[in-house]
This record gives sequence, C-alpha cells and structure tokens, in this order.
Amino acid sequence: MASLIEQIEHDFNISEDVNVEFSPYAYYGEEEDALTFYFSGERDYAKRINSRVTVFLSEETDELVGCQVKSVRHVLDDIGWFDVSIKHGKVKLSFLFVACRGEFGEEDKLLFREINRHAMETDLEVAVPEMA
Amino acid sequence: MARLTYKMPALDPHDPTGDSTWDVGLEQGQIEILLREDGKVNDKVRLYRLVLAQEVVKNPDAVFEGWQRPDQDDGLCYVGQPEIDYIRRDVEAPAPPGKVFCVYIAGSGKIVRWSWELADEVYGVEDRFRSKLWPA
Repeated sequence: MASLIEQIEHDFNISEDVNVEFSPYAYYGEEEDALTFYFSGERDYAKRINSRVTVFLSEETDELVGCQVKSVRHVLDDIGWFDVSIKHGKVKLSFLFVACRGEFGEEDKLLFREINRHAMETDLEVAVPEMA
Repeated sequence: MARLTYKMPALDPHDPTGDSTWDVGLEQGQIEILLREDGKVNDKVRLYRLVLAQEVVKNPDAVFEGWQRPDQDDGLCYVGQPEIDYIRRDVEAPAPPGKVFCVYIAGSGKIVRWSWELADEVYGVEDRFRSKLWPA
C-alpha cells in the first residue's frame, strides 16, 4: 500500500471494518466550484453528460451511484439564492440540486429527477464556505 | 487558495523533458468526507483509489489543460492506465476494460476528482479540453 494512504490511515486512526454500511455524502469544493454527491459506495466510473454535469455509474450495473455538478456558485450568483436558503454556511443538498436544474439538458430530465430524489432522501446539508 | 494537507509529486507537464515534478494533493476535508466520525472508512472505493491517483500523476500517459468552463482555464487532467482497481484496502480488482483513470487537478495543485472514465470520452472528444500538454 502506498505511503500516502499509510499517512492518511495513521493521521485519522483509520480502522477498516468491511461491514460498515455506506452512508451517502456530499462535498462542495470551493476552488473547483463543484458539488459532488455519492449515494452508493459501489465501484464506479464517471460519465460526462455535458461541461457542467458528470454522473457516476456502477461498474457492474451501469446504475447511477452519484454525480458531480460544476459551476455551482455561478448558478447561485445568477439566481440570488443566498439569503433565503443558506443557514450557518450550509445549504440543503436538495435545494442545491433544484437550483442547478438548468445545468441538466431537457434530454436529461429523468436523470435529474433520479438524482434529486436521492438528494431529498438523504436530507444532507453541504458546507458552502464562500456563501457563509 | 487550497491548503493541501496530503501531497504527492506529480509530473510537471510544462517541462518537456519530463524530469520535473510539482506537488499536488488533497485538503483535509476531502479525506474527512470519505470517513465516518468513528474513524471507520465510509467510502472505501474512493479512498483506496487514491493509490491509483498517486500512480497516475507521477507517470501519466497524457496531461490535458483547460476544463472548458468558467474560471478553470488552468485546470489539468492527468490520464493513465493502471492495471488494477481497488475495492477496499488491499483488495484489488482488474482495471475496468475500455477505461482510463483520470485525475483532475486545479491550478493550485488541489486534486478535485479521481475516477475511471471511458477512454473514448477522454481521448475521443475534440473540445473536451483546451489543449494537450504532455507529451508535448
């Protein structure tokens, strides 16, 4: 195992438990201005939908396991959402996806609905520091 | 600006000799999101695929520049073809057929995504990236 992983395992005192059930998570990266959301821990690959949306599909079944939406801050700037939906620097994931609906083309409407359904089910909040 | 807690050397694609490296890496929060509060690994696939990321940025087959979206002109994509994939710690699987491993790096050196992608969608789409930096 490579040294970077050993350093991470040491720093975080990681103990692997193969029986741990995967929990959905989301992460907003300020520099890349992208929101990443995984709702399954399967082996996956990335498929680019357009310059703003990439989906993650199961390597085994091609089913959706997550997605990444880019230029999120640009979208939120455009619609002026900050005052109504951000509390303590965090935003509900489902709100973000609704705001980013326009990044999905008409032909990707079903894809958007599936992702948004997962976002609503998780009830996750995402830290968006630029907007705090 | 990114605060890179976990660094790894990457080939400097601006040096045509291939002899130089620069530091790329991850912020602490990017690791924390893969873990649970009790220190157990939540997302084993993404965590242990960092081994592949480390391999690809050091010895890429190609490096592209420009992600073709606002404010990301200096974003890089390192592409490689590891022979294995990781399911979890020390548990390997064959590399998925027809795919390449991509590591996306922002201008600061922050690794922002590491994933397998269809090779045709990386090499075969004309406007995917602004230019190819490596090999020159």
